[in-house]
Amino acid sequence: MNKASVYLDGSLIGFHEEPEEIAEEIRGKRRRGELPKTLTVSNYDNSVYINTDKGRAIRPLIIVEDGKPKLTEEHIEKVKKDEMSFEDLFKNGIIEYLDAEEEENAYIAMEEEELTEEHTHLEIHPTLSLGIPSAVNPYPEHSHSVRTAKGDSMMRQAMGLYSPTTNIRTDTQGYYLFYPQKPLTGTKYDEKAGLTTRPIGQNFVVAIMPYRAYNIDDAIILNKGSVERALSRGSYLRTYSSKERRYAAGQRDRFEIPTEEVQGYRGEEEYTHLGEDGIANPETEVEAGGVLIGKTSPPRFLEETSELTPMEEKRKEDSKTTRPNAAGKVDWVMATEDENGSRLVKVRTRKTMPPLVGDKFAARSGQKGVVGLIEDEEDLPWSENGIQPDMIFNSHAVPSRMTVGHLLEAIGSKKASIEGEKTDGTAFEGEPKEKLEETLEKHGFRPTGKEIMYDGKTGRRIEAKIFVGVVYYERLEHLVSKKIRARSTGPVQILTRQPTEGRSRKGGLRIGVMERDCLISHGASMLLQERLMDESDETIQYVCESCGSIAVKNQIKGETYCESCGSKEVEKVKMSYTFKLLLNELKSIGIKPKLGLRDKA
Amino acid sequence: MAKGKKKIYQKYEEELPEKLLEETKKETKDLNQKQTEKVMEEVLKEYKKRQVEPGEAAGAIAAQSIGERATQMTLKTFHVAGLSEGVSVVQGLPRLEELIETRKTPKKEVCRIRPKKEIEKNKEKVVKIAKKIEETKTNDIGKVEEDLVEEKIIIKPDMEKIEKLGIEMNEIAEKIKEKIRRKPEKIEKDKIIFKPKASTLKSLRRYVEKAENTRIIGIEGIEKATLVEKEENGETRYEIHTDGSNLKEVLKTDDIDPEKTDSNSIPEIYKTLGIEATRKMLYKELMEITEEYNINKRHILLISDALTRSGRPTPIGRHGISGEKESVLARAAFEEQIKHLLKAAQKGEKDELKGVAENIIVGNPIPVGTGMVDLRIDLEKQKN
Ligand SMILES: [Zn+2]
Repeated sequence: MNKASVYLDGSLIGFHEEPEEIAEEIRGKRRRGELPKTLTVSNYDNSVYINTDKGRAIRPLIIVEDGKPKLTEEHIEKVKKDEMSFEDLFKNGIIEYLDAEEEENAYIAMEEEELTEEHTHLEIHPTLSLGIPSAVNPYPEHSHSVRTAKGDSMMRQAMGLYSPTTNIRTDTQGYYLFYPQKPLTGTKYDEKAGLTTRPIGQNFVVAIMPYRAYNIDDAIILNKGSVERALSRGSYLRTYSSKERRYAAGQRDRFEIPTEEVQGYRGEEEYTHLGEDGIANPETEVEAGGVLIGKTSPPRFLEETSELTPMEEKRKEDSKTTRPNAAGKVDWVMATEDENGSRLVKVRTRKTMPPLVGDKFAARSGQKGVVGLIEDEEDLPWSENGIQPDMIFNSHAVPSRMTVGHLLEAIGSKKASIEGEKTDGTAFEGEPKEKLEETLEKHGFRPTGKEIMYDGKTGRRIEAKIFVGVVYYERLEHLVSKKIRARSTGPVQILTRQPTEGRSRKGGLRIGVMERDCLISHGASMLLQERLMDESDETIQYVCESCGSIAVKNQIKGETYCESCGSKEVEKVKMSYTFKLLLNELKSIGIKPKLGLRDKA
Repeated sequence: MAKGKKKIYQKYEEELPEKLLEETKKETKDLNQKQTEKVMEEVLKEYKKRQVEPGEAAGAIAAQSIGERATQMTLKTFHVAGLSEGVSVVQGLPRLEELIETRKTPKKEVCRIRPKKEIEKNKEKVVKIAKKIEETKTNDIGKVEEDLVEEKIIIKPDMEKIEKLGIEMNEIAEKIKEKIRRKPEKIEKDKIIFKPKASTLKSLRRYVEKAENTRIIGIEGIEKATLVEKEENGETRYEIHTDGSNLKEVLKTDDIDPEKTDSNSIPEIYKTLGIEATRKMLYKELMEITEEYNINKRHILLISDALTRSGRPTPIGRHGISGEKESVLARAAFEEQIKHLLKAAQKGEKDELKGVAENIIVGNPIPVGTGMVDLRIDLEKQKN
């Protein structure tokens, strides 16, 4: 048989006859503390992989030998009494770290009861097999795993308070929530994962019901009163930076308010909010595309201008402006020096972002939706206790997705807000539904979480009982105000003369091939013509009638003629500019295209 | 038939298709003249309603109707539950691709053989046919040995096996004789001896190899014939599905129904049965794989027509329909732009701007739907 190859951190270091033996030996050394505990070794496909490098996710597991876990009650007692540390457990070979690769060689039991002779490891706790987002997700085992995974990945897009040093950070962009809250239904890992100190959402009172067709298809209704009381209100911070660059011959950029002589001067008004140093003052309002840092640069081709023209050197305007569609207030200015000793200025802008129709919200169970209506508080339904929901969520979003965790969280948090104590929703051992129901009943609520509600508009009692609970909702960073766009006319691409693409370039919405096929299928010939020609790159060209090539017009003399044959028999022809471009490109590869003209029948 | 009624029918002969007219004739048999007149009017109205309107982009709609479903199809291969191991058949999207790419032989060629009606419910007889079709080589029924001293090759069939297959020793000898072109020296009860003129060991070996690979019974290319059970009207009938296909030879077999026997290979159908059969086959197969998606059969008919209208199966794509379009611009827009443009320039081609793609490129209204209509001045009327 072939010898097994041995790899250290991905590079081949040698061969060995007995891959299992060497892997076992390395493992033994690690367990005895002779090798670092973060080293992992795995053996498969007739190769041994030893990994010591950074960036691997490793997790602790209890070592099992002969079907018995190495960790005993005795150890636990000792750790509790502080006679032994967690670290000591590693040193004594009781627990060890495994990475994803070494798990291939392990047979891990979830619970102690299910241990057999073949098992090599025992989970410290079943939840430790989850990642951080899943671990802080309440009641995940009650929902479909796909939904939970979606909820986990959306946590990363939630607005919150992602860093305690926000005030002195210069992230390119960041979204912050004004009043983030700890989740009422949490898990045992919340504290460790930082969810209690850097929360990612707020606890919403949620009523589950369809509401006047404003929440069809996953849309949600927000309470205008709540929104005005800063529910999910946040700010968008963006940092711009500029440097005083140095050039040859002692030239350098200068932070200053550009004067009229400067090439590309924007006009006096554009610079009024700048301080004497050319930098915008904190707390001044800046429009989209407005100047934040006034800067001038030396002329680019210094030698040429000084030799050929006696003209005075003209500095160029090179100010830093806010991005189009990104107005805001100047939040903070930082001036410092970079590693070369050049002055470096960073300006942070801030914009308050109240929730708007079209903003995206999500619960941790993967239930996401877009705001469909911000309803006046007085028109919303209220319960017997006079409680009005912050959010109305459509009941049709639940059955097909089977997000039972979402509903459990709702009554869990409801119970928590009554009792004033956090509900534990840790995976596999969260507070059971029966207990939650019991507590609700004890406080005079229906155990099902349903309540009698009254219509805010008519004052009549709503016939059905409405499920009301409290759910931790995240406001995701996809804000409509950053996405909304429209265009009637605007910039075009230079090469093709078709409208530009993308919001930042004031572009249009593209009619792609599929959309084109749709219009063809409908036989909407004229609409297609309008979209693809009239409103896009229509052009009028002169075409020579005798030789069929594109002719020209002399604007001064007002005459048209063909440059290739000299004929003056020239006709105006409407065509798309891209077609004219195609004709030019054909010429460039040595093909002469001819256009035959014919009167429109 | 009353004369008046006959006249009514005649009036509609031009406008209604034959089959529809026949059907209505049958249905209006008991009606009187006036009633018949009324029914015929209604029939014509309904018939016209169902016709495609002038200028409808039938091709684009057909393409979308199939394309939209195709995105939902998953890559699935599924196993036919047979009596023995079963023949796995490519299904879903890969099969759709196979069909549309009409020139390719499928990955798994399968002949679907329907036995004659009288015996299709008799398992034993169907098994017999299957045995007869399956290609069996000398290797499969016995051993070929060489006698180096005497320069002989000895064929030793497994007596049990050949008895089961119903082969005589003479038959084996005959087949091998044909293949190696030597008369057998001796035919014994359990062995056949050949003595080819082989001067070297190497040439003797070559004879042995030839003898081993001689087809004793069956049809070339049919590696395995499997019985497939089919339920029909509560009764079980049997079909034979084969691994590998040779339709031309299979159709010559006795006891099969040549009209119901087919192959899943489009090129083979074309080769043996011609273009009309290919069109029908394409329609049948396309309908079968899109069955669960409920596509209107007219779309599929249109596609089957498009794939066969040139008189030979033409695939969609670069080497087929798209690559053979009349318009230079449309061809260049599809693929390999420069190649098409240069070739067209060499030939001095002229683009008449009659299709959809080329008119979009130029910026004209496309000749579909509302773009088909135009005003024309009646010069005769202008004179007055
Ligand atoms: Zn000319």
